[in-house]
Amino acid sequence: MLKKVISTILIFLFCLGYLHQKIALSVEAYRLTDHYRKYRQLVDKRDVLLYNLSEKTSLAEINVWARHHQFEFAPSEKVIALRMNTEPQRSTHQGVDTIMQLATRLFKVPGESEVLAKEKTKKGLPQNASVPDYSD
Amino acid sequence: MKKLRVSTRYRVIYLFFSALFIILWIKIFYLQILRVDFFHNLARKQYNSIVSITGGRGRIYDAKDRILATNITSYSVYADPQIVTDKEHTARILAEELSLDKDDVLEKLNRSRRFVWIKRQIPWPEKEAVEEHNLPGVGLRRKIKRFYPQKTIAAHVLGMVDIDNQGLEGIELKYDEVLRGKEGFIQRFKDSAARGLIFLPESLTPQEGADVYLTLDGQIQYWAEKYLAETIDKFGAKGGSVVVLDTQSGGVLALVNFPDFNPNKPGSSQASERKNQALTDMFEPGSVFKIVTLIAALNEGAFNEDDMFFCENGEYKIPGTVLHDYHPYGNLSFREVFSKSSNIGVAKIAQSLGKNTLYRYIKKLQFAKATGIDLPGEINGFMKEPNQWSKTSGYIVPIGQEVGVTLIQLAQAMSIIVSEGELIQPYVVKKVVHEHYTNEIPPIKKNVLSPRVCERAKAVLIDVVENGTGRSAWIEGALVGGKTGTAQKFDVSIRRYSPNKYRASFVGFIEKEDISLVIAISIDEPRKSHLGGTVAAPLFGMIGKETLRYLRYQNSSSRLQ
Repeated sequence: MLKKVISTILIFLFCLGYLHQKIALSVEAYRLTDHYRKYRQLVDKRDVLLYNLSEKTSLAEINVWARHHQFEFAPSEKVIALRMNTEPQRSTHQGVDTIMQLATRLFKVPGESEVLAKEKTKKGLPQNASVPDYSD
Repeated sequence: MKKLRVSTRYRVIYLFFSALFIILWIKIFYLQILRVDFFHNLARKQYNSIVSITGGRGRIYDAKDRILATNITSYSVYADPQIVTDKEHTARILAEELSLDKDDVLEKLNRSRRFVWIKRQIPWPEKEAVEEHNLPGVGLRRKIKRFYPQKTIAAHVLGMVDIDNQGLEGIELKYDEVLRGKEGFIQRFKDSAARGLIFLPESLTPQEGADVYLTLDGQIQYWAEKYLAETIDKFGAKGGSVVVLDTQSGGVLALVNFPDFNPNKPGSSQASERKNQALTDMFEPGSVFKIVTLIAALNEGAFNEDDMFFCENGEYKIPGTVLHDYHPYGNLSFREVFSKSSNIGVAKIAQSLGKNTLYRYIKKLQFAKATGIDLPGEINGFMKEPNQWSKTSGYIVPIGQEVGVTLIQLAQAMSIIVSEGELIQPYVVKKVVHEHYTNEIPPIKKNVLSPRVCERAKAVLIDVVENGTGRSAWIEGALVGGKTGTAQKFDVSIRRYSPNKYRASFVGFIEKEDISLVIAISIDEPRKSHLGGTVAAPLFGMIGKETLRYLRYQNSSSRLQ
């Protein structure tokens, strides 16, 4: 009797597991369809935006706009000064800097002087330089 | 006895129905067990389908990564007249939302077909409006279509595709295999109305086509198109072409033909407008062809730049006809023969070289042979063998008659001279980029002339612009040289050269700093003037000036970075 009950329960569990797999597959398929539907909507919207954008920003439109607003190429001889002062800058805290450098080397003291920090630039440009945010 | 008869009757009935049941079971066994696969597949076909998905067609970019060709989705409205219930109401709504004539729509809905197009490729707001109404029997069909955002710019180079997105002309045709994506598939369940319900995860991902990057610069292309159109309008010409080449790489920076077309609306253009004339049309080049005699004379060491020639005061009797100069000249130096474009002077120089020598240099400069540019439809041009030349041919071939060339061949020939005798095959595709590979196409180079001879020839061509017929091509601050050409067209109806149909050409070069360009121009049947120096040379100047400024700006920007 006990064996019959156990075998019935096992069969039930097996069937349950099998059905669960089948349903999970269908749920996955439904989600996939739903994502695909959303993806298509986004693609359609992107294409509409691209179409509208190109109507207003094609080369012909841009050239007409540039001509109307009298845009000109900058002459190639124009020099943009990055660093006006060509003489080496002398720090007003030279003594402190020397001590700090020695301390850093001997005792591996973390941090550096403010004066040295001001001399550091990002990618060779002064900290206040504005880098054009576009790529050609 | 009676009892026996009743029980027999029951037995018969029992046996009869048993037999019926046995037949039924046999049938069920046959359908459910023996034919299970057949019916299973039949059912699957109804609810399960495999949808093929084409991989997107690759994009085409210009030299500055501007998109010249891409793909967008478009929707078209269709209707099933058999399902549409209230035709009047449906026609009114559709006409209102799609800006159509109501009677036209109603006529379509009254047809006895199961499918009619109401409107193709509608804008997004119209699509949303139709969807919102949810009209029975009216549906939207989604399609991927090819889109050219720059419209007419580079249309002849790009070409176009057909309704199935297969290349028909230009790059779209030449690189169709590369641009085309690979098909994938996805399985889907559908309901009784054949609407897709869900997609199964088992699928084969479609592969996108490769992207093609051109040597063309859209901005230079724009200027070439703009100024060519203005020149054609100004002189009332039939058409024309422009080719701009970078002589250092062989890359084509611009290739323009007029009339042009919008590849987004292929149905609205004629086949003649879609022809890439710079490659497919040959013409008699006229005096531009004198560069062959110039190179031949210098390379053979036959003459120096200061040698003098008597130009017969403008009239020179040759076998079969009389050769004329546009202006009568007496004595001209070798340099002046070309700068003033004396037909008589060039004919005399060519005669002294001989037809076989001249023919050899025609071949050296790659005439009568396709350049091999990576665009479809290029022709070879026309050149008779020396043994087929008549007595007149020896005098008129050097001045560009009895010979057929294409504009790209003229550009290539000038490019050989400018790049010190190096032949670089012109090309328009710089590289092909795919998800799995990048293929950069290197230029094909070959030495055909000596650098010293080319240097001397360039000096003579510079003189054409500084002191000769090509003065209108001059550009301030740059080294400019070239050759004008004014050729009478042969009129088939009168079987001789036309007195009022000409082709005006100018082929020249511009050098400044590390920029070296060749610009070849040809204008067909200009009316108000027909001279190359008046019609084509100023156009060269306009395009050259803008292109030079632009390229110098580009180069200086990169130095700043």
